[in-house]
Amino acid sequence: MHADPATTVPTIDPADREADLRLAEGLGAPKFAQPWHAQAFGTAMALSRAGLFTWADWVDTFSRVIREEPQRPGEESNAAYYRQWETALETLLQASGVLSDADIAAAAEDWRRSYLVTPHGHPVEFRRGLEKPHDHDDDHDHHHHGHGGRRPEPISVSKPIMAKAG
Amino acid sequence: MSHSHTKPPAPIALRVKAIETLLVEKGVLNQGVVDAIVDVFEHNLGPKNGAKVVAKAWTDPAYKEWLLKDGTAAIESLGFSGFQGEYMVVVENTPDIHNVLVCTLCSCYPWPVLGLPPNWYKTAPYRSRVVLNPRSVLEEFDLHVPDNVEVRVWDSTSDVRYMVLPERPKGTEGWSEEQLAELVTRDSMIGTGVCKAA
Repeated sequence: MHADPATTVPTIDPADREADLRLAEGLGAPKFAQPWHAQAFGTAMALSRAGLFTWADWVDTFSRVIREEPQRPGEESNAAYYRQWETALETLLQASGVLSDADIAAAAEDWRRSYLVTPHGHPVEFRRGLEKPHDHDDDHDHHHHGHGGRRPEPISVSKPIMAKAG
Repeated sequence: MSHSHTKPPAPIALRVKAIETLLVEKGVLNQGVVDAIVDVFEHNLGPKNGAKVVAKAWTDPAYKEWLLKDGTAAIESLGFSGFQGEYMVVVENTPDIHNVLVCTLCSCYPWPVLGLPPNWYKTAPYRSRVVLNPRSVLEEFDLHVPDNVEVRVWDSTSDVRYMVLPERPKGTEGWSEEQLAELVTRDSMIGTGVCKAA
């Protein structure tokens, strides 16, 4: 699996082209694949229009992130692109002193808790001061085996059948 | 399911939500401005805009001359303008010259006329290889540029965005602008493709 960079020509993924063709509708442009891609894109543009940074500043920072934090093995090109976009956005916000990493982390945690207290199917509203949830954490299905500190045990066991010595 | 809660999105998505929430709270951005921008990108910008520009240039020699001289103003006259006041330069394909666009640094793209770029335009292989070896990259797009045709690669930047004016397909004499616009493909305006045949 070790490709020799000197002889390997990186390919332009035809699957990407196909995906674009499927997306082409209406005005024929691709749409945002994820809501947060759109939100990150729109936020950067809105900040530039609001004068927080120039678009040249944006391109400078974004292209540096693309260079220094390239697409990872197994990462889709579009996912890499918006990861880099989000990093550039945070970089510029922190550099301008408008938001710190801690500000963003705290509000992100508030958003996470806001999701967790919202019944499924209801709109999620941003709330602060929610308690840290201990009963669920978002990414797992919970079958609460092993409560009370006991080690989990199998529900049944079939012992090995020993051949009788003849 | 017994648990009635809403599964939060990925951590990176939560950070983006956090950023917008905080910026609105601090009064840096107005509520709704991000959604408004996204809405324009998803509903108002795309290659159909560019196709109108191309079709007009094919049928109106004075407009074509203006478009090649002052792309920004000629494109804006049809109602398509940029978010950052992008300076638009239109480059014309001829029997002797084929133009193709790239942004070597990131993904600068002529949004007013083409909307959001395709994925491949944003990838490292396209950004690097089309500069070094444009003919072979164009072959991968099934575009065979004859050896005697010069290939020019244009590098978009934060303030200069290019668009290709493709060659008008043969056999379209007397066609209306609307009919002609149907033949203009996105890739023909990037230079990785040509227009549909009549």
